[in-house]
Amino acid sequence: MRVTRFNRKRDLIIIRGFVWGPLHRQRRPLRLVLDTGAAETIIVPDVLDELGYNPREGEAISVMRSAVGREEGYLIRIARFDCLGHQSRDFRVHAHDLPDGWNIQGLIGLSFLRELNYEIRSLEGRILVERAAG
Amino acid sequence: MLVDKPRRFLRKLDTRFHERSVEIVMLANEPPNPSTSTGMATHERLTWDEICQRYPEEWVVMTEIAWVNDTDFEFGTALVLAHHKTRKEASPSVKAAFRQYDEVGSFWTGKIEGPVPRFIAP
Repeated sequence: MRVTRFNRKRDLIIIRGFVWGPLHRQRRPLRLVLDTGAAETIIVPDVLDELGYNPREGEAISVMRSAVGREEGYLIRIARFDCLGHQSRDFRVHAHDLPDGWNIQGLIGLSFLRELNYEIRSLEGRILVERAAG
Repeated sequence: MLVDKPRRFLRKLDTRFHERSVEIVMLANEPPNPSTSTGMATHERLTWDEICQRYPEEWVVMTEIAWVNDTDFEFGTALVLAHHKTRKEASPSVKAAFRQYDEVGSFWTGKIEGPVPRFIAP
């Protein structure tokens, strides 16, 4: 069981994650919003670009629709993604810009979370996580 | 002894540490955009509280982050390399820092807010 702490006084659950570069050598720590209502995991394209990923390596164009409009991005596989004390290799994320005012670098959605059993203890500011068996 | 001193000095110039110092000072002294606020001649190790006090409402580029553990955002101190008003302005500093360091982060020191999008379609 891994324990991740977050600031329970914030409006959002913000946790740390790492995205690794294509050669598994460099990594970029990020602050991400945990969003159990999102199907996919989103990373802003700048972060991927800084690590050496190229949009031409993307698998498909994707579209994000939200209250602020419609934005095009792309699907891309990243060599390694670490969060909540667990890692996923060759992990597919949506590279999408988020409005500047949000000041986050991405969202963790169910595409990562569905491999885990987790318990969000909001009052304690803790997330208990274990990898699902099987 | 008098001969030894200059020899030691020359050896220092050949070290990787020296190359790193020169590279990063150049990075900090070349603001690519007048709206950016880089201009740090030296780099300091600071705690997150100190960083937030010194660079409020900015994206701070940092490395050599002494993480408290492998899950939380908390860290002891980090080496601050640059600071910028927007995430996009910080991006060139992050890329430059990756030429010297294997781990580089940039974090917003102000309040984090924003609605979360609900729908994604491929």
